[in-house]
Amino acid sequence: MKISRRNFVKLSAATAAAAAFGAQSLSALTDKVNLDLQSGEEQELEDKFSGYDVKYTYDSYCPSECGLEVWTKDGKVEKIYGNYADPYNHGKMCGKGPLGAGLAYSLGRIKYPMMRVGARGEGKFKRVSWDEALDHIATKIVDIKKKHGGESIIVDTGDMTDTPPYYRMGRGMGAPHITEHGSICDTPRRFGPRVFIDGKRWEPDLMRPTLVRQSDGSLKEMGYDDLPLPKYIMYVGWNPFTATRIHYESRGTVTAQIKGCKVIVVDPAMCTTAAQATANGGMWVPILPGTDNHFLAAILRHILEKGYEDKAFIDEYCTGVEEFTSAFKSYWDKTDSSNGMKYFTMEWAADKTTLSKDKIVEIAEIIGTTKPGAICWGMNGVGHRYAGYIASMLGTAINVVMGNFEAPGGTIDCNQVRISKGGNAGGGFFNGREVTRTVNGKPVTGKQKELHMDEMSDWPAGWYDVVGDHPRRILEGIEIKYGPFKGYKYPIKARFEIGGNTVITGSATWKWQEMYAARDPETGEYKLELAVSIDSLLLENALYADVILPAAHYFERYGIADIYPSAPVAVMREPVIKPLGESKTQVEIMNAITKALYEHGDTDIDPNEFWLKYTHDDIFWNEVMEPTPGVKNVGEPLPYPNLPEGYKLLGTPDSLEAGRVTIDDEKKVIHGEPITMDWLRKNQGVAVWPMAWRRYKQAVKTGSGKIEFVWSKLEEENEKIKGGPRPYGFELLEKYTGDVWDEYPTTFFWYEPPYNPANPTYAATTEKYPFQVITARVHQGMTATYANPQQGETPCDSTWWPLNREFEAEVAEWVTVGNDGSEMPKGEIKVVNKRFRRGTYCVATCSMNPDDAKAYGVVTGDVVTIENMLGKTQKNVVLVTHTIRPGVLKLPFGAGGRFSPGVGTTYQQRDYTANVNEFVDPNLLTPIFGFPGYLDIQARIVAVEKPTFATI
Amino acid sequence: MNELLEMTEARMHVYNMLRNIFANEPTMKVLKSLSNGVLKDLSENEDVKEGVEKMAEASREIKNTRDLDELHAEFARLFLMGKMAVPPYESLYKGGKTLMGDAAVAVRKEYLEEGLQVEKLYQEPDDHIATEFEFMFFLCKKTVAALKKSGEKKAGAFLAKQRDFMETHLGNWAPQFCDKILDSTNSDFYRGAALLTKGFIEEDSRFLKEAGEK
Amino acid sequence: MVKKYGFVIDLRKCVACYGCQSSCRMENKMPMGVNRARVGIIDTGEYPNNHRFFLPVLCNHCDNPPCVKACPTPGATYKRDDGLVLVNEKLCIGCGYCVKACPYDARFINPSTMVADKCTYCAHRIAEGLEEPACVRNCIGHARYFGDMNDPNSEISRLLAENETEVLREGFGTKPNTYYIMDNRAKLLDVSGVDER
Repeated sequence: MKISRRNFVKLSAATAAAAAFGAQSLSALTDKVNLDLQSGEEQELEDKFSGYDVKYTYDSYCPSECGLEVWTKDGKVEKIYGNYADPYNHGKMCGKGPLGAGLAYSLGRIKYPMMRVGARGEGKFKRVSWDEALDHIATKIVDIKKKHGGESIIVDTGDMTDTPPYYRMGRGMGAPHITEHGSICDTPRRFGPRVFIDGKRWEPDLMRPTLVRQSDGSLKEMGYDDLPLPKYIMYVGWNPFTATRIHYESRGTVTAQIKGCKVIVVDPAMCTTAAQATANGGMWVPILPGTDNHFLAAILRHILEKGYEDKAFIDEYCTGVEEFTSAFKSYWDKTDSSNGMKYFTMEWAADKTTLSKDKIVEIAEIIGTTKPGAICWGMNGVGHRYAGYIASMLGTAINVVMGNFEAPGGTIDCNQVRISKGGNAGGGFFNGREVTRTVNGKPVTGKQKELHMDEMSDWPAGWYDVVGDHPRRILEGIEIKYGPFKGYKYPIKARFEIGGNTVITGSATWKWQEMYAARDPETGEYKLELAVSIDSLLLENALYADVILPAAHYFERYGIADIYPSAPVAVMREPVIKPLGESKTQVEIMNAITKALYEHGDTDIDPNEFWLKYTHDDIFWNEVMEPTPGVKNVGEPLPYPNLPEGYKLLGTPDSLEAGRVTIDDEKKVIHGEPITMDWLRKNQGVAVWPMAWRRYKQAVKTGSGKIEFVWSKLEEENEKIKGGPRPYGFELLEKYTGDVWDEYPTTFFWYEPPYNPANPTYAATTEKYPFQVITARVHQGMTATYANPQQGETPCDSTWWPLNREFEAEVAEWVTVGNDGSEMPKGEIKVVNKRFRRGTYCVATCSMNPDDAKAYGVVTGDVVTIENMLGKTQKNVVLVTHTIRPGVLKLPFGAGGRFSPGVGTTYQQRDYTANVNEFVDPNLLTPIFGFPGYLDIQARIVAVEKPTFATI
Repeated sequence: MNELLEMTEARMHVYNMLRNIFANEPTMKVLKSLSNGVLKDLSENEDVKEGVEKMAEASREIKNTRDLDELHAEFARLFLMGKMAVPPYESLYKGGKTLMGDAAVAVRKEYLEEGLQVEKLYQEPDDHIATEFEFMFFLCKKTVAALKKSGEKKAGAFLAKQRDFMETHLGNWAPQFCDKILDSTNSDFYRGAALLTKGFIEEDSRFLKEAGEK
Repeated sequence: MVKKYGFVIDLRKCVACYGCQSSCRMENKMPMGVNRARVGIIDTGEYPNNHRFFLPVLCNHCDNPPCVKACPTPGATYKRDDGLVLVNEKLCIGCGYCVKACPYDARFINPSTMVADKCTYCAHRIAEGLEEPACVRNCIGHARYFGDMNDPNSEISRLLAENETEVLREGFGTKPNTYYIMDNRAKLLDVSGVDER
């Protein structure tokens, strides 16, 4: 570098001067944050491969959130591996993670703010500055709040665990309904764990290695050879190998199988897990879709009749079992009029499921006589069904009565044992603000949260919020039905969609489009006055936004992951590359929006709670970890025998281990040194606390402290709705199944699934629409990740198959520059115009059984037109395959009918692939949580197109 | 490379000194050194030379505790809360009206990027001139360390940081601040300090700009 | 002792996630349309007694490599002392004979470089002491193993000693060095894993 020969300051004089004034004092600035901190491992790799920067972060390609080791060079992502320090994925990846650069540098990236030009849905935007975009948003919000209050704003924070800044932002601006993807993920699946133990996700005990306290006091990582494994695993509508949602279930299941575990996969299609199971001594059980309830009910009846249940466990750790079994047994002598058989008998179940009676008995015997074991039910099979609660309830009950819950090699609720995080950072305290509204002419004062559009209105037990019903609520407006504001009405005028794509995922796409396009008949303005999309990729939701803000990609932002391990683990995310274009992190966006609101006169915003406080992401995420890990020192073996049992643990693993703690005997809390982003940086990005089993004392967060078969959580809801209007969900239930509830069930209950051949009420529909349409993920997992063209080369599950028509597309792909073996391969991501020849690239594929195909004259490559029970038609190309039972069509989720150009190559296939959500009945919302019945679809084939030279 | 190392070390020391001038009242020991001409050959820049001369002269005039008290009182009148005839906070320059303004938040962010934070966060504004000088001192210190360890490779980034900070913050208001001192006081000590600062900032801005050109 | 690198794939553990293919593309900067590592999906039988197998494949770095024999340009493709079969890009003229000669479809012409391309066992990582190709580094099922078969204490030697393995197209005489630990094939003939009605 150039410096002038003329030294403008002389070193000797300067040194003397400094000495004169005294030694350098650091009195104003102190070392606070060291963003260059590294663990030894990073340094080692960087020394070997010079020019590369190694950082640890975690993935967001799918919600699995695997720990990553990312190498960058000159500010670009070069290598992506798993992080060995994260026990969840233990240094490994899947077919998605390593292709992460394809998403970060995708052509669909939103790089700068945009504003809509033209009508919603046209997809015409102009680039604007951040200031302009924020100005528009703030002006609108302040105006909307003046007229309708903060409750007229919805903030949907979309996916995964990076959401606390948006919760804070939304609540801070006065919106009580902050939703997240969980609302439309799989709430029926969570029903059982939630009401029995206030849990969420039950997974087989397969995460190895895991850190376990030894009898000599040391901590040791124990592997598959050191600890018990399940002797059977039954996956009901759950395909861990493709969904790769719970990373350790991949390596864990295959390892357990080799050691003799019987893997039983109950699925109408031979998914990857079923295929692998049958190749290694397991079973594929091709059940009639939607009859998992009947299947599990028969198994439970069999267990109770044979007396297989673990009575000692039940006596000690459960409550309400007698009422539950009594309600369950009340069906035993009843005859099901649809088939003349007694409920829950093996014959009855065989008739409903179309499985052989011998097979169900065989499975029931395995479950009843093999320990330890685990039943695991899935997102799609159970979680996406109107009657999914029942399978979830039965699966939970069976796991518990067989004594497998929290047994070594049994089943773990990974939500119960996960770390606590968020604390005040999420802004929950804003919800306690006092607000005053005029109700029927009189002023009423209450708390901000008592204006909630679901819990205090149509969905009193909507514990996960009810995103699936947003279109109707926005079209019709809200009326509060409980609490101090009862009778108060307000409209929804603004909606933020952050990282989610509800136009495709929320329920039926057409319903969401209707909502966005709806106009006020008087003013002619859009009913929903402000739609904001904050995302890193231009998806369908953005096409309906008024303002689009560029969000940092997962390689460019911060966060803390914690969801799926079976022991407390915290994994940090920090940027490995600078945000592309003008995109910003969540904290930056939170600050920018709240500051704009403040400057436009929003008196709800306090600068000291936003941009003045969180001047760097680290400050926010450190606050998020203030309650971490927040688990109790309980279980076998006791995680910290040197610390009081039963007390809550806070702080870093090493400080707890060394006893560098202060103990609060009054509150029963052990305070170690607070865990921070810096601590994580020094420890390869991961904090691991010891595993334990039988954590009943903590692992059962119910009021009674026991596993509840009579559910106090729903008893509370019944108190709330007593004397009040009938919840909307009950009306729908009566409409769809004929069942009449006047309160929520508090123990075993039953109803038949709608739109199902096994339900006689739907005999007419079944006759006209003989197919059941099911769906499931392909590798991509989320609607955003189709924007990575590289995933077009990873077929799976007979629903993502190379059956493309010839097409051309611009794609960003690796261009190899040099590879001669001994040198580091060179290449860079470039945008190229590529021609994809017919049959070389994966597209959404409809799987069809050969018998059905024969009956319709269909061969692989034909395009069928499918019509659903509501008369909606779509086309899809077909794969004729033996990997699916007759009477069922399987379509992949999010893979077809994509109409945002931002998804690149998948957009090109929209004419001959279907968006399976278009077939969903948007009014079919489950009675308790309001979850859309995504999988309750009946259909028929109305046309078959053979390929021609024109269409190939 | 050695030249660059020397320059950076020298600048580092000067920033430390400037920080001390505006953070604290001078002690007898400091005044003694100044009157002995410790800063005599500091620089060829005219303002710096004049400033150094004035400060030396003023120091020679401080003969007893009463003189010292008077000097301290002038410091308080100029820079401390209360009178604060010449506010030493960036937020109050370039159109800003309040303390703890945008500038304070912006520099706070800059500090944090380097792992630094003012000790009395939220109580003491981050954009005090002494703190900004201290930040430049730190950046120089890091540069020196980088130069000694791995040569010019990593030093470039730190020098760029210094240039950015100079262009966006320090260099943007320090000259104005110095002019204001010259207009507001008869104290030769502080008039001298103002000239010294002004001259140095001018030189350093130029230096950093040049260093950035390849 | 000179090293001899080899590969073991445990088919009992492959879950067809395509992590090997994706990791390889990322590691070696492969454009779309070509792959050094692939996963085959093979369907047999009829519902409900059908089966689906997954077969991850890569270059076998044969001891008797037909691709080296077919190459008209001396040194353009060669077998190293440690077993690796590699391409010298500076010498390769891109004629494609080797592509046709390989019975495993392991070689191809890279559309960016226009010369022959194939799996290199990530030789660049081996060069830095990381004896672990990217596909092994990331395999979700822990189904892939790589190492020195001349070292009796290596993991791969132990696996070969303790398990029955098979290679692909043994009859071709190529002496491939990818050893597959098989699925539990015997049970498949029994069709005991599938419901029938």
